[in-house]
Amino acid sequence: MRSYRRLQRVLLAIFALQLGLAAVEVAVDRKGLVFPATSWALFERVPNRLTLYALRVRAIDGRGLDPPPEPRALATVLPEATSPEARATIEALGVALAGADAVAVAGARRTLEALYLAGHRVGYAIEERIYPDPFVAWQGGPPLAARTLGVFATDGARR
Amino acid sequence: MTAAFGLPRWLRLRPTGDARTACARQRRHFAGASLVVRVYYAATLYLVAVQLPQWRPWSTAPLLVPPWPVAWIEVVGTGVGVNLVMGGTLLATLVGALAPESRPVRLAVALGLLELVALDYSFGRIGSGWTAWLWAAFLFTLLPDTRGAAGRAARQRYLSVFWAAQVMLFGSFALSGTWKLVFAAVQLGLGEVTAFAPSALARHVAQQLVYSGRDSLLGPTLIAHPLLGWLPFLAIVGLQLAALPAAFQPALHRLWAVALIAFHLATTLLLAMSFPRSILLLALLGAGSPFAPAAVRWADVARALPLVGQRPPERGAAPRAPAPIRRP
Repeated sequence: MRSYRRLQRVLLAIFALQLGLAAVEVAVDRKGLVFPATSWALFERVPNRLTLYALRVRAIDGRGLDPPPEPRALATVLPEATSPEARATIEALGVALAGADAVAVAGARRTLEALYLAGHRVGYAIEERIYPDPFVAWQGGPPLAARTLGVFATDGARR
Repeated sequence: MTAAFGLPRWLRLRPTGDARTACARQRRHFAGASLVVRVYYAATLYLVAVQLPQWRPWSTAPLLVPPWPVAWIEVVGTGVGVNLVMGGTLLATLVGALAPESRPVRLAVALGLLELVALDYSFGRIGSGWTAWLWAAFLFTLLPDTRGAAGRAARQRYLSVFWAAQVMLFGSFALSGTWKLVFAAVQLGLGEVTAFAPSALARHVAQQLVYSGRDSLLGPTLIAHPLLGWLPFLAIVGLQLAALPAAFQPALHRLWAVALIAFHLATTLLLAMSFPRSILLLALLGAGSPFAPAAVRWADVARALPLVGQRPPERGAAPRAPAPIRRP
């Protein structure tokens, strides 16, 4: 009985400690998950304005695409770039470009181009779009603002 | 406030019956927990087997973004590293399914899983789909070795560790619910739409579908009629917040686990995301909880519900010490 109560207290203390650590993690760096620890902060912030970083393929294997396919139609030209991992990499590249973080840009570009654009000569841009709310974005409505953060090209080599 | 002050009493273990009953109950719980642990290791083998088709593409990947557990692969090369991780984990989980009662084997499985999961998260995104399963594997390494006959103390240790895994699992949902409340307060302060707004769930669904570029079965309907998601989302937050207290109430284990599984199923239909490992772990540790009553009795469930279901205090009655359990 005593040991059960002690165990209860220890587990509650561990829970409180994790909550505290997770609070620090969320406050300092939302994306800085320290594997395999996680804050379990999932769907915690209700989206109001929505910032979307999109991969806009302008040319593939010498064929120009004008206009570039919308993000939801990306699978028609580059299905490899639509996996959750690829989308996370595109977002990381967008955040790095928006923050002018050259090291992070180089890392995200290397990942994106080696894993998700390999085997094609791709001319692409990373675009930032800000929507008033996610409903407008989902319906394909006009963004409040849109800007091209960077334009890049790959040589099609598999590394 | 009354509810907050009543929490310690609500969490208190209420021993019932004499020493013989307690011993029999402990044996019954131990047998149930041992079976669940055995199934957990068989299921781990299955989950690793499901990853096998990735062996070749991973071993020929032109680049890895490895988290720290597999950072060594950059030294030995991707092909060799992936072969070592996949081969080692497969071997460990095969032996784990055969002899989960051995602590060294359980440790090997946990380390193998750590490597495999880190490898799975080496492609630009660290997810959370494996996390609870992995933590359970590490918690289970603390289970006492039960290759011989387990005595009373060993059985009690076994059950304590098993229950800690249940607390970890339910606690992860409680943390998720807690963050929703924390950010609701933050967003309220910023004048933004919060988790309590009628459109909160529909906004999450719309954002996720935009991010993923997928369509879901129920998502478009909810986006068209956001009000439909108001009460369900509030219920989800409540369900998650109460998950930790539910871990302390055996009468709620099965109900809460099934409710959380239902939450995952609804999320799948709305967001086009699946949570197979989380569902499996909830089924094993929650729906299959050895501490839960053999049959769901709704009166017991109602009494055990957090905050609203507290038993009345035993006024005038002196606290009863648990009956001593004598060694057989």
